[in-house]
Amino acid sequence: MRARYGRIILRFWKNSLIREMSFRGHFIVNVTSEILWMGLLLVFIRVIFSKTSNVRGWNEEQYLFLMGTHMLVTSLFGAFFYNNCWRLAELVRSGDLDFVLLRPASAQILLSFERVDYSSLARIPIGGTLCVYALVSLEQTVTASQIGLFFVLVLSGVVIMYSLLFMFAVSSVWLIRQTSIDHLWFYAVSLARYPAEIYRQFAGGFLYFALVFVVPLLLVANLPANVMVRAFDPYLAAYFVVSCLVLLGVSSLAFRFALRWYRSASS
Amino acid sequence: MARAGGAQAASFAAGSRRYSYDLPRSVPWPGMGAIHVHNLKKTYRVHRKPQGLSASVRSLFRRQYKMVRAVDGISFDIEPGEMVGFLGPNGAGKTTTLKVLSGLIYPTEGHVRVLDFVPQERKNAYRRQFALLMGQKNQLWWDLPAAESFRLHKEIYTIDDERFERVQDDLTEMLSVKDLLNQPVRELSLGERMKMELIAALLHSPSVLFLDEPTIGLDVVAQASIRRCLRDYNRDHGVTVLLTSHYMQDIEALCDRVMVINHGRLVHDGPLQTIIERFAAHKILTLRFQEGAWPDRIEDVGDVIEFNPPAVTLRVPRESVTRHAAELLSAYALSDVSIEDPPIDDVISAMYGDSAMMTPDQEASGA
Amino acid sequence: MRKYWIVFSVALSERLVYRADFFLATFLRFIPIVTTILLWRAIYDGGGRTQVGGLAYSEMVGYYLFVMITRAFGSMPRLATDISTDIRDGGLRKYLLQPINYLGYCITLRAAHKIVYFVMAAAPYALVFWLCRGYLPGWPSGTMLVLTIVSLIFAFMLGFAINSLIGLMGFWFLEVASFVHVFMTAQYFLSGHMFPLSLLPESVAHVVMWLPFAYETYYPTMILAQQLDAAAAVRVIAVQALWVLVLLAAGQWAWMRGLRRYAAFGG
Repeated sequence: MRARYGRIILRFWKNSLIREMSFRGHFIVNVTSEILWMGLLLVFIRVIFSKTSNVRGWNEEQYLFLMGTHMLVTSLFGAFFYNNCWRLAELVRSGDLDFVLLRPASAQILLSFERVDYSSLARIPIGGTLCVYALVSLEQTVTASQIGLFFVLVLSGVVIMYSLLFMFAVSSVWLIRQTSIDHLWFYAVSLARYPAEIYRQFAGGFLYFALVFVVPLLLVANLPANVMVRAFDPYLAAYFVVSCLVLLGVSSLAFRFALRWYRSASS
Repeated sequence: MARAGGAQAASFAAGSRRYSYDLPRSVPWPGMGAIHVHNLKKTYRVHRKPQGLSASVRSLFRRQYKMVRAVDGISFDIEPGEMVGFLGPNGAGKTTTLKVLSGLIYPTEGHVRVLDFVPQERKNAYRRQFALLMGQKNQLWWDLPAAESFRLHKEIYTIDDERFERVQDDLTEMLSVKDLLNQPVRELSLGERMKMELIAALLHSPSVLFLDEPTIGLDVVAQASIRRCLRDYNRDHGVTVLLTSHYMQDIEALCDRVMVINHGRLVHDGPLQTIIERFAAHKILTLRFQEGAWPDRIEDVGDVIEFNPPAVTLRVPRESVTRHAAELLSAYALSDVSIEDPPIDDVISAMYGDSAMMTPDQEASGA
Repeated sequence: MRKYWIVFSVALSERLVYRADFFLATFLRFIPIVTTILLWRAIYDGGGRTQVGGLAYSEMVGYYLFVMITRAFGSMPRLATDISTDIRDGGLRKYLLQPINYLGYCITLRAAHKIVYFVMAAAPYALVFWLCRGYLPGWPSGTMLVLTIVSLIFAFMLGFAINSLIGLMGFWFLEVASFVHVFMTAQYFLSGHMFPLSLLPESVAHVVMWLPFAYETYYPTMILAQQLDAAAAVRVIAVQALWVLVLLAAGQWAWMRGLRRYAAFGG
């Protein structure tokens, strides 16, 4: 069974690659756009650190590492899941969701893995380079277990983002036409890009609490970065991994619930 | 009709087939028909679209809904290997019925079995055994060659390599699209694309095929080719087909049996020809007069449909057509006479009109 | 005039229908403001500064709040993509047959969208501005108010001119839709949406501040924030008017040339 889904997903990836390669112009433009955006973020960091030496305890190199980590997380999410979540809402709108539901396989898997945006992977070398540069500048040594934990947390962050956006896309069964789905992603990304500490005092810590413990978006980059370049809280990391699994389960339940409604309410 | 069930007897369609429906539900349905539908009803809710500016402002705060009964108690049975045409005006409930049969939506009432599965349980075993093809929808990857989409189907339906190659070869051969397999779907003509869609639907060798307007918008050649493929495929593989189409040629070429649905109810179930016998009140009489033999009051015979002397085409009441033809033949010098049934499209659309008058509005209002 | 009114009212009612999406989108729009406010607090605190780029902390926050208003005027979501799609997919033919000027049609449509947006968003905006009143200057004088409004209307027209010009490139290039992404990224930075342009190193600022993007967002925002006096505001408006004229003329020229090409290639 698992092998079968493996083959389906591999086929999705292959087909996406063939598709991407037949639009090389778009691919190049998209990669250019990614690189430009990364460049601008670096300019912004430079502007910030020309005015201060630290942002709530993060110095420039640590901040760069955070930025690099954020790029890795959003790159993976953007490449594998963002378009698929967006497409789910589109399929609901056009009624083409029906065809996915006809297939003798898990609709959630078919929907979640269908498209890969390979140009989004351009952020990986950039983010990786930033991380390595930051580590070297900090003259920091890291252990193998630190690196292992870093990747576990990065992947958990990707899954958390996926679960949240997938649930949001699922809600399009009830809410017709959501242009806000694009906005939500943009804002979620922009939130997690900054040191989590800046949110601590705001609104009596309510926002920080909500974004760490209820909708754990804030930590997707912060937590893995903390593991590598700053102090790290093992309880928080454990909570993060657990909540990633819980959210994944909830997204699946939400999807099933929505489908049941869809089946009884549409014609 | 063994028991005085009442309700069940009343919902009986004007069909040719008769089954006893009043068995308790726990007893499996006897006989191994392909499709069994009993008293199927489906009601759904639509957002009432506001008209005009002030109404749309109001709808921001309170939405208006209405309940629409798409299918209103239809029953029928289809035997394995049958090809059945499913006719009806837009919005009559054809697509809704097909979706219920595919397990995409739940019936509000009634029960449905396909190949001894209950579609709404959506077992993978069931989903492997049927295909739904919609002429206006695209299931293939738009930017990829159809071959790549087929390979994806192969994985999803777990078709083994050898079988996949064989089926794909047969079908591409049959529809003569072999050399288009590696061309992106977006570059194909509508007809070619539809052929690819049909192949995708048949790759996993389904036992039941639901076709919703498979030839819509296609040119005559492509239509004929798809029709031929369906007929041959049905003959060779014994696939059960339920087909909706706006093109009567599709139905005439493929289906011995036709079900007509209007306002969610089955108004006819039987051979295509019986529709004409039952519902056509007129025949079409075409006369070609010899020179100088033009009658004075031709319009007394019937309604003139086409008038281009020396020929004239008339719509004449069924019961009097032979009498009129004989009279004209004896009184005037005619070079040609023909009496034909009216085009089936006209009969059917007249039927829709009739039954629309017979059935009261099905919409019930609600908020 | 009546046909424009019909375009206007149809667009108006179409927009009004999608309520849930709208409120959600408006609400979400303020999330990055919170982040930005908190980030700048951290920067002012970290550097122990009272002024950054000539702005006090409250003025910096005010700047970002006012940018929201300026962007509400100047942003033209999907305009360029829509135009290039119309050109590519032959949707343009429809308009060519009607006695209506295509660009006139587009700007009327956008004006309708904007007005609905302002009406609908007034309450959430008012709430946010009231909550943030501590960061804001008092009400402007009558003269300044008039100048502000004029400048905002020019921001709208400038946004339209820039975006439609890019959309019209669809006559010559296929990849406009993906280029728009690169352009939006650049604009985010060049217009002063990312941070006030006064934070840039002087040599860079010198160039950037003369580009039309600065007049679409940065300068109108500075007028709104009462950072410029009446004389400076008038100068800004004059340059805005100049840019609008130049870009609209360029758009009209591109339209004529493009149409000739369109006719020659049969669309």
